[in-house]
Amino acid sequence: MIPSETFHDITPISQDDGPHPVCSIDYPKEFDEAQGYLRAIMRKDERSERALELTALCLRFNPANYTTWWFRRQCLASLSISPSNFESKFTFFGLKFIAKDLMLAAKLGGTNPKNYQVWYHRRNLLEQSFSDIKSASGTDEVGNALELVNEEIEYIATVIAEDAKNYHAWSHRQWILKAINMESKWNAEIEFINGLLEDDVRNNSAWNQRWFVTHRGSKSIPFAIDDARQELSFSICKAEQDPYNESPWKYFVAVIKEQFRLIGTTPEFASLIGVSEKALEETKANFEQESKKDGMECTNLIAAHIDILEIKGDKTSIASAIEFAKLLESRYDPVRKKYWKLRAQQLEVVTK
Amino acid sequence: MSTSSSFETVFKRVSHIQYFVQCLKKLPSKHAALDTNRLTLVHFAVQSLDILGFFDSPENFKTYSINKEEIIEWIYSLQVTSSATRTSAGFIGGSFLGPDVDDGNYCNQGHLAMTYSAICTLITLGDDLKRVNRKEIISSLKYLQQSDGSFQCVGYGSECDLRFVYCACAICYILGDWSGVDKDAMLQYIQSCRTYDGALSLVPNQESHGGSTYCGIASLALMGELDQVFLHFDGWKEDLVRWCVSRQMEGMQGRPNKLEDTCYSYWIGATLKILDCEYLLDRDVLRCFVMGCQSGTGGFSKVRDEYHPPDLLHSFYSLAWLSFSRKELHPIDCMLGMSSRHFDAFRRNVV
Repeated sequence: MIPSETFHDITPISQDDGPHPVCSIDYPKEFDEAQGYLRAIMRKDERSERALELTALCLRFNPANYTTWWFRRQCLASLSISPSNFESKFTFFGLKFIAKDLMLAAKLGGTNPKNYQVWYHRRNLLEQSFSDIKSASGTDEVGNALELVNEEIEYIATVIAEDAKNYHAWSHRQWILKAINMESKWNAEIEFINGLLEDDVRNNSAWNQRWFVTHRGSKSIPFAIDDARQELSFSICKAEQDPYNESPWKYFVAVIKEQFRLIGTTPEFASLIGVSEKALEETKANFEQESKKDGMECTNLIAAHIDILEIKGDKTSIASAIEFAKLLESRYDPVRKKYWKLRAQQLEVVTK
Repeated sequence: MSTSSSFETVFKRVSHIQYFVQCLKKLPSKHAALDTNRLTLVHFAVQSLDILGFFDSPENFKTYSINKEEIIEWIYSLQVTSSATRTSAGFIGGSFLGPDVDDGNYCNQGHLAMTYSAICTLITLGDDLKRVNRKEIISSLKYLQQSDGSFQCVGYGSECDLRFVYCACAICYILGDWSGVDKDAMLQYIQSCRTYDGALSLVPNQESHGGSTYCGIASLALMGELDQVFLHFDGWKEDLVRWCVSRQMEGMQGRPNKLEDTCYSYWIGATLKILDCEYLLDRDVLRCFVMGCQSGTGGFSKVRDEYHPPDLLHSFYSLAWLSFSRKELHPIDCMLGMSSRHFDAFRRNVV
């Protein structure tokens, strides 16, 4: 695999594991050979074209070697010509290198990359360009950067199409959206999420993304009450499709809790929680009518109801909550009976 | 799908020992992708052997050709003591960069997760850590901590998330020295990983996940900040406990609406144990799931099907959870992820 002429001047360094190695790996011969040359090149710190080629070869065998990726980036940076007066906390990579290495990372990652290193490489390649978007509007750099943004969002979508819950893909996607912070992208993301929920209303990653996007990636800006009503409406509509599904109910309760912390003593909140409770009860009733089953079986619906009753906090509500918890304990959620027993006990303390 | 030939309800202690011993010797070529993580693999194997009581019988060393001192020497051969600025001291995961890890080459730096693995393994093998460069490891933590309180794993940069916050906390706790980290910033970061459904994500804003939930809660426990945090965030402990128990189908899932996987029995089980709530799980049903993933030839797989042979990670974490309740197994410490008795012995000697 390595043409002998390219590295004629390099003496490969073998991996010396000492006299008593532990957890030795039976490396393929070609891998061992390529790594031998890379060890020598890295020790020399030679940041050249041939070094770049060598890292690509070694990464084919082990795309999780973070030191190889790091050294590759050193080579790319050395071979890139940064603009004069370039000052940034991020590394500068030439545009053609960015494009080429995004392709390499995609290839090495496979259709469903779950390796931290390929995603980190992508981020490293892009972070300088993305910082351009905020700082230098109307320039060529921004044009290039926007194109990269669109392509990257597209790329992540292809990975999500393969595995709609790929954690790395979603982390990377969140990073881009927050880094560029463009209203058009936030709005487009809602459409993207809705599409995923059409495919699978149980996709908890999509639900989490909705919370992220509707809060514009901020932990300190809660929903305005109108937005809260909209989100409650959305989540209960989705919960109706499958009342057993945990994700929309957790979302539903989280919206209510957020408002409770904000405006819990106001008549607006009393109205909001009243409407929510009604909608939940309607969902249960519809389920019972259509399926001819006992709505108590939808333990996530009942659990959400208990949460709402606890927030309401009046004597009658707490009594109902305790009753529900005891039913879940004794009959409907056997795997969690000890938990529901504890929950009922905690609610009984509230009553006193 | 089940592979009826490998489903066993009997605990196959001897097969497990053989499995881990074999892993300590040689791993097949498909493990090339774990080349940089060999110290973690050794940690899994050694902790597992300790759970199984392998080290209790000296005859085992001869029978299986295992030499504790040789393993210790190999681990120490991976210690990086470079003192150039902005580099991380500690341990590197393997000799993939060359035989002399201390050659001053900039890329030969300690990796936080490998340092954690090395220290835990050394203690379990009975080493006193006298040859570990504690001062350098602790002081170089400042090159790894970020302004938001999170940690990267190596001096020249990496992704930053709760995994490495956990490694840093475990290292500080074991070495008894928090001077190299900004605890308040760590606290802030962990709190910023709280999710709307009551658990912790790997990075802020991301989805609640069993692994990151363990990393965050264990970190808080190691810092001694759990009670304070729960006082500050009214209702969080209750939401967290609820989230954890909701992960049980038969086995434990890592996230809502995802598949059950044996390693989450530890991540979630240990989290609940830290919160004194592990009893809330249906242990019988969970045990059934985990034992169903036991391989007849040793080890555990993540799920019980023909596509998933046993692997070191799932084997260790399955045993780690089992060690909480099976009397014949030596327990794992739920905060440190290592042998409880060996850590206690180490602690006593230090004092």
